[in-house]
Amino acid sequence: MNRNSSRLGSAEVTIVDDTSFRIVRAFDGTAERLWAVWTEPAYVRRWWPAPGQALDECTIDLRVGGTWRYAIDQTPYGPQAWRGTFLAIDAPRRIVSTEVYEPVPDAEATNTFTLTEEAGVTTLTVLVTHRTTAARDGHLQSGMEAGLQLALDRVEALLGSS
Amino acid sequence: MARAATTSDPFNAVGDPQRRQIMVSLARGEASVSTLVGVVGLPQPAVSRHLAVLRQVDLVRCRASGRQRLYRLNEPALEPIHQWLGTFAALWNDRLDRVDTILQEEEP
Repeated sequence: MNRNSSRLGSAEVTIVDDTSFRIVRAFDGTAERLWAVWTEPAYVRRWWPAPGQALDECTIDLRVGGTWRYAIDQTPYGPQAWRGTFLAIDAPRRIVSTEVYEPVPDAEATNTFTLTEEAGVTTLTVLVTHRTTAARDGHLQSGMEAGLQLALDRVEALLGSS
Repeated sequence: MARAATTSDPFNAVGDPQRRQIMVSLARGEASVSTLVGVVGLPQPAVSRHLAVLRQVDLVRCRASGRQRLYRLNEPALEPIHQWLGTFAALWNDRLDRVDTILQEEEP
């Protein structure tokens, strides 16, 4: 059961250019299974929200022109929601979709999700491309805020156990 | 684990949930005490006390703007916490670790 332990925490987030960043992570498993975990709401509900949070909506209409929306009704910052439209789908290898963080409706990004499988190891790449550098940085900053919250919660857990 | 006093250790300074709430709020941008009072819902003296603790460990800095003082997060002082956990990367690492767990538990 611990085959994956060496991969925990191995995701890399890198700046690609003035408007893009990329998330890369390898998994032990087939592209088909990873595709299912990424695109079926029953799975997404288990991995997308932070511990202690739950998605109040997780809708995925996986077809070109179909839409997706993830929403959390109650957070310290009020309701949070993300949505987009699927532009291209090539199961189980590639999805291109738009993404809008609803509190910042003008900053629509294009996400290219790619799976490459080799010898039972599947590498996931998400390339997030914004229209402007400011929008990209705003995205990283909003994530930073959530990441900071997560980091501080862990500090609390550590302090609580000392 | 022995820890230094709150006044010198940024990890302890952020151990208080209300101070964390103030920091997360300042991560969105500079704010006055009255703005923070509105955001965190604490009385102004309590917010000021928390800001004083955060300033002592240099996690928060302030500047005068007219008759107000504006507080901001001092990112470099968060470096020990950032380096340890990452921030944006930590968020995605956590998500993708959960994806990994789902994949592994369902593999034969």
